[in-house]
Amino acid sequence: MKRLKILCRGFIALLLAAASPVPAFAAANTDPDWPCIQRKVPQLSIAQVWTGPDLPENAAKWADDPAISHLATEMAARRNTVEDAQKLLATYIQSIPRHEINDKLMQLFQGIFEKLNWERQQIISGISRYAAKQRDMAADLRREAQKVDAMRAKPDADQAELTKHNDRLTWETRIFEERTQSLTYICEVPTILEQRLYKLANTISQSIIKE
Amino acid sequence: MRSHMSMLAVTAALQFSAQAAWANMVYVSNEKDNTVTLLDSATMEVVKTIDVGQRPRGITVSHDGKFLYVCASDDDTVEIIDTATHEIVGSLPSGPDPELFVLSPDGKTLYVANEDDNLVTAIDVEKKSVIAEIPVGVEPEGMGISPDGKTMVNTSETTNMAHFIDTSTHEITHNVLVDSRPRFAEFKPDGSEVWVSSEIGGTVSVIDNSTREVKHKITFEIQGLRSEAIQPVGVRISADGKKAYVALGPANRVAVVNAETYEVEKYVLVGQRVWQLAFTPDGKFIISTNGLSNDVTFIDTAADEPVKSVTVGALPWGVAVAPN
Repeated sequence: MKRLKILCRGFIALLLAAASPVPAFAAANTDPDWPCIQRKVPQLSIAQVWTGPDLPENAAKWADDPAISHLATEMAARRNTVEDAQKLLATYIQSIPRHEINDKLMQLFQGIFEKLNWERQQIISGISRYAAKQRDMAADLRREAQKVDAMRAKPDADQAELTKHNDRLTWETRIFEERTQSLTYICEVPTILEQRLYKLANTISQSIIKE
Repeated sequence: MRSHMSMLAVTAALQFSAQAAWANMVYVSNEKDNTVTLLDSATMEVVKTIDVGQRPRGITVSHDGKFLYVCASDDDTVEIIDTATHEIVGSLPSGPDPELFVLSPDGKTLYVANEDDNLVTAIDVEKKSVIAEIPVGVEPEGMGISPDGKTMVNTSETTNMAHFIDTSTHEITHNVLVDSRPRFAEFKPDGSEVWVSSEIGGTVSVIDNSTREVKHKITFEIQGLRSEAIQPVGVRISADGKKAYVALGPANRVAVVNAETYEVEKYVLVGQRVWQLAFTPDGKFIISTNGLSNDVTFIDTAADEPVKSVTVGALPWGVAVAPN
């Protein structure tokens, strides 16, 4: 939260100082369109989460098995709790012959990994778009603030016009600030997906039968 | 039969007391749920959870083991907890947003990094008063102190520097440029080197304490892992100065480094987003906080294998172990 306050304060200061908005985004990151405090990790790697045996080549063919494909979709979906996903897995394991379990589980993990990694990538691109839009908004607000300042400086300023512009500036600044605050929640979404993937990967690797 | 039972009871009691003799309390700050988890280092089980201030991060124990200091970052204070009663018994004037700190070897001064104010605050622990405020780089974070207490090193996240501060004058004597977003500074027990981790740079800079220059940069490569997932944060060096452990953030591993040759010898898979580390006083275990999997992992330092992961609070951040 403190970070966010700093970011918010940074933005407001930025608007007032009419400086380039880029440093506020880029201060701690190298990517100007990455507004989150966590370093941008665009894609996850299997080695980050998988503690089971090396995945066989046929794990990549998980989508060929309709049952695995369906189960991977259900287990990855955030509408199902992790506990529900674990129950689905337990039921599935009971439905297949023992000698097939390990191969099927590794295919299932590969499927869940690809699905959650893809979803996370989409969110990360969305965050970048959001950040780019914020920068554009900051530029607009600076222009508008300069316009209001210039109007105010004129002794014969049209007061009604000045009030109109000022109200607009206040309103848009508020929207901008609220969008900046939302960043905290948006930035947490990739993390939530990582946590889910890690828990599911652990459950699956623990279900692997050790010979 | 009765004598057999009593024999068993005696044996059990002996075992218990033997175990109790070397058990140390482990304290873990949980950033998200504003608690500190207490674990027994011998049984590796949670003993108690206590409520503390908002956003607890940096955590350390006084050298006599009587007090626990916790940075309550969002409350802008350092809380003092009595380790016997587990009650908050006072606070220290830390300055705004304290994140990490280090206690001087004589236990009298606490140096606190104030992330928001670009300051390091030196606090007299006994008098609970500020001795000095030292301006440093932007977003100070990592704090290390030399074994002789004469030099303190602070790292600044945004300026990418390790600032060497003379503790007698409270002046910066050297600024050493390191890689992007330095997070932690750790002196070797003989005071010859300072190791500084860089979260975004993905490296650990080894700074020679006599020349105050980077003499080596340790890099990490893990098969199957993208380089941006390797984010070094916490660093601890063994008491004999031979081995170092580096927490690698979302790589979910702790690197074991030969502290004499700087070669990475092993990567130990622990939990999700590994943050900070602490040794048990006998050096037999090192404990990692794993922020996203909400657990801590005990690593056996003889085999460098994980022994046990224990669920703690939400977003475990810092870890400290009571001295013997």
